[in-house]
Amino acid sequence: MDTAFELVDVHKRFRLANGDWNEAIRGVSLTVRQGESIAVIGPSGAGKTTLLRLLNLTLRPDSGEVRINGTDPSRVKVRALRRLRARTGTVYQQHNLIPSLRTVHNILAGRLSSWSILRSLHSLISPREIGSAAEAARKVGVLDKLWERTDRLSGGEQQRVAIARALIQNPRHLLADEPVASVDPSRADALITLLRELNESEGKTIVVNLHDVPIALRHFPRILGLHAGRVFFDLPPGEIKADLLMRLYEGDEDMTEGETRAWIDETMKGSLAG
Amino acid sequence: MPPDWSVWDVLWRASLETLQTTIAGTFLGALFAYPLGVMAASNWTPPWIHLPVKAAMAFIRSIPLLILALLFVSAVGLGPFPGVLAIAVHSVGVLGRFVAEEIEATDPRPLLALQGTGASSIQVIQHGLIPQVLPQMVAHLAIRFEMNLRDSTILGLVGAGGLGFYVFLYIKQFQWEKTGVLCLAIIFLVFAGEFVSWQIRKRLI
Ligand SMILES: Nc1ncnc2c1ncn2[C@@H]1O[C@H](COP(=O)(O)OP(=O)(O)OP(=O)(O)O)[C@@H](O)[C@H]1O
Ligand SMILES: [Mg+2]
Repeated sequence: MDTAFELVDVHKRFRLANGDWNEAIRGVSLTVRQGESIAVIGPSGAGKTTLLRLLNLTLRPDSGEVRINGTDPSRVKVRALRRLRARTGTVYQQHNLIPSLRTVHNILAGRLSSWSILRSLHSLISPREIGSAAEAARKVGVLDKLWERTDRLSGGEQQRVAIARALIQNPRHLLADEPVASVDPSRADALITLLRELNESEGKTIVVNLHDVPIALRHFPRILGLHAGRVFFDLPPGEIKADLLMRLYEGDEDMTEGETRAWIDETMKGSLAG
Repeated sequence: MPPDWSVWDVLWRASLETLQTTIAGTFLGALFAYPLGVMAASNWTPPWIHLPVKAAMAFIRSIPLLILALLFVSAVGLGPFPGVLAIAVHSVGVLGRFVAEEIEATDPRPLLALQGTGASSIQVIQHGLIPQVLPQMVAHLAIRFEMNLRDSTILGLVGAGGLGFYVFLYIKQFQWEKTGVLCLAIIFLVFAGEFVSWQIRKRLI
């Protein structure tokens, strides 16, 4: 079977304001097959977002290799790099939409890679391909907000616009960073179900970062636990036990040990019952 | 002492000249200020580009407009043309800095998101950067126009044309009534400029 993403001993560090280095990814090796669907979990600061940006080619690794469908992006010219990027659609943690533009333009931004500069300029003045924008908006349930300014939309609606932008790109791979962080629980399940459907019916590779461990365990056949920039485990949900989760989230700044223990116990009970 | 309205003809021509000088100077300046402002934005260009461009713009700002006009008068002769150049150069210094600061204040994440879809750099600027800064750009341009209009009314003092030239002339000839009329015209023009600028900015916010 084809590989969608291949990472070999990837390192990525960031320069901090005080001059120190923060190593966000410390030697990650990972193979994701075309059409696979993976949830990435781990404490805040583990490197989940950084990993996603390495996969969608908006960050270059400091060392190690990243390959998309067997191609090394560091060896191709700008145009080919753009085509490679266009294969992966990304939904970001903070949506990353352009607030002052109307929804329709933010959705159509997913088409830019297949448009000329003139066509994209024309579209800003009078939107092109409105039909496909409306179709994507309908799929995620924001059709009635198509002509609103994006910054007037609620957090959950912006989330869905961001998903529509990724859908209209018609990518082979879909990455999502905490896609359910700003929506209510019933919406959350519906969104994850939508992503899983795209995975099952269209064979798209799905990689989703999730804070919500129960959702991850319930919907995804492969769970990647990330801790301090390293792959801590890479297991099917059935093999993930409470003490493993306990160690994964150990030292999370947002929670005391007792709180961590409590929600993990809750999670395990829930997934056993379900 | 009643105002002398026989200067109507001079008043009309000089006001028009001041207005034209301002418009030409502001837009000529803006033409250079936008690309230079992008070059001066530390999040878009490496230090060896943005530091010298920033320094050059700061240097330009440090020269008083009247001195600039004096320099251009001695370089290209009397008339409105040196006035246009002085206003343009001054505007590059001031507008360019605002452009750079607005660009530096933009959120980089939406731009990275566009890049991640496979959009080209020009498309990222088109769809991501310009929509984020356009309202502020237009507001700064309107304020610059308003201030340039006020400044250009006195450019005539150093021979760079417009209302100021005649004010200076009539003062030298002790024609206080005519001086008074022209001063009224200056006040009116500056007020009108502020009104237009305010209307434009009001519609943006
Ligand atoms: N652009 C950046 N500059 C400096 N440091 C960064 C940058 N991006 C990420 N980091 C640092 O890298 C580490 C990993 O960050 P990352 O955003 O990947 O974590 P995460 O697992 O997504 O966290 P969260 O669950 O809170 O979203 C953090 O310590 C973060 O501060
Ligand atoms: Mg994150």
